[in-house]
Amino acid sequence: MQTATIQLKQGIGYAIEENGVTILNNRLHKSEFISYPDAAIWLVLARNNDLKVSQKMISAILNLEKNKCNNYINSCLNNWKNYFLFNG
Amino acid sequence: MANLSLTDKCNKQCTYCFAGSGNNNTNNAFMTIDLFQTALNYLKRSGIKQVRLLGGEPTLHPNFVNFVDIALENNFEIMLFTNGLINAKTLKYLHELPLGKLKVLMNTIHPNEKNNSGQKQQEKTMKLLGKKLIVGVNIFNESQDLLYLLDYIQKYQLKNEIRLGIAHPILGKQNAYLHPKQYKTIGEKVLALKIKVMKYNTSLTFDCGFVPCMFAPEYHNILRNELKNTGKCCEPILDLMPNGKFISCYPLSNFHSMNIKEQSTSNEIKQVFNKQLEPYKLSGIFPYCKTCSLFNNACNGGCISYRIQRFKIEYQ
Repeated sequence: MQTATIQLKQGIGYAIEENGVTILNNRLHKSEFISYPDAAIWLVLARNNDLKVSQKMISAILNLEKNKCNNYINSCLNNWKNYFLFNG
Repeated sequence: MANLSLTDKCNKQCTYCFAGSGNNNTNNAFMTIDLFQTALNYLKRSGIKQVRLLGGEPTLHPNFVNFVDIALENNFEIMLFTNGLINAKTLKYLHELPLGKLKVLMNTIHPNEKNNSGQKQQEKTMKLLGKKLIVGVNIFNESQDLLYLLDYIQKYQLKNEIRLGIAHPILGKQNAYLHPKQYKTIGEKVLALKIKVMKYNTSLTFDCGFVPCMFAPEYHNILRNELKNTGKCCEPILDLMPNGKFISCYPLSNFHSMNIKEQSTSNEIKQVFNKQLEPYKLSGIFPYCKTCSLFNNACNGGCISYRIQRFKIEYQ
């Protein structure tokens, strides 16, 4: 079975701040700020291609059981669909 | 403010150079007289009264003296940015210009610098230009000494002013630059220099990129004059390159550029550049800028080139 992967779309960058992450959309010349805890989810997703691994990490960080955690991640990804590319 | 880069040719090899010289590739390009005239018209349209000549080393342009003459005939004042390695004929010409018409800003070589081959020539330049000359230094590492600058002023009876610049990263290049982590160390050295120069009524001028948090808050009062605009001056300067293209500033030379047009003014070009830089202004040079009470108030977050680079690093 193919593993679901996730990666940042081309032209998307981010900078880690003390209180969150600043997201840059280089193609649209736009940026936005995401504060914690969503910023922590962003960082895990942006740095790990394997979605299942990211789900496990986030579940441990937020101390959420699997289904609740996946719902939380999905709601974040729904807001960030312009930034991430999904496969599988 | 707008700078005219007459040439990218230089007779020094500074590792920090953000002017396309030093360790970076140069084309030995020279601004044509037609472009210089177009540039003067642009300055007039933009209401700018000072022509700021830089390079590379601007005095290496074969028509340098001619350019200065044309600018003076058009009632501009001249500000010359030089490394001081100026040939005797040009130096004599600059010496003979009236004091009110010419200011020379010379980047100094430290007396103890290992490769100080140009120092004798710099001494000649300081001796001859006297009150027309402001000494300056580009700071690119935290071990740099700054206290010698006052000795130069006193020894050569120079203008009572010291310009301090920070070497910034050129996007897409590998120049030496002062990392923001080193800013506080340099802040202490600047403070020591300030305490030394206060006795002699010598002023310090900070170039772009200085930020208030380089200096411990208890010393802000001593530096109150210098800190007035510190942290707020990172805006497109507009440098016109020898090929007729405007850039925001040297560190952003690979980021964006625009051809000079017959009708454009300084404000119009700045607007375009500012729009392209806007998304990066949400971040500062430090991760803690976002939580700093001065951010977007008394400080815009430091050099935009470094702020852009923070995003680039995270790209990978």
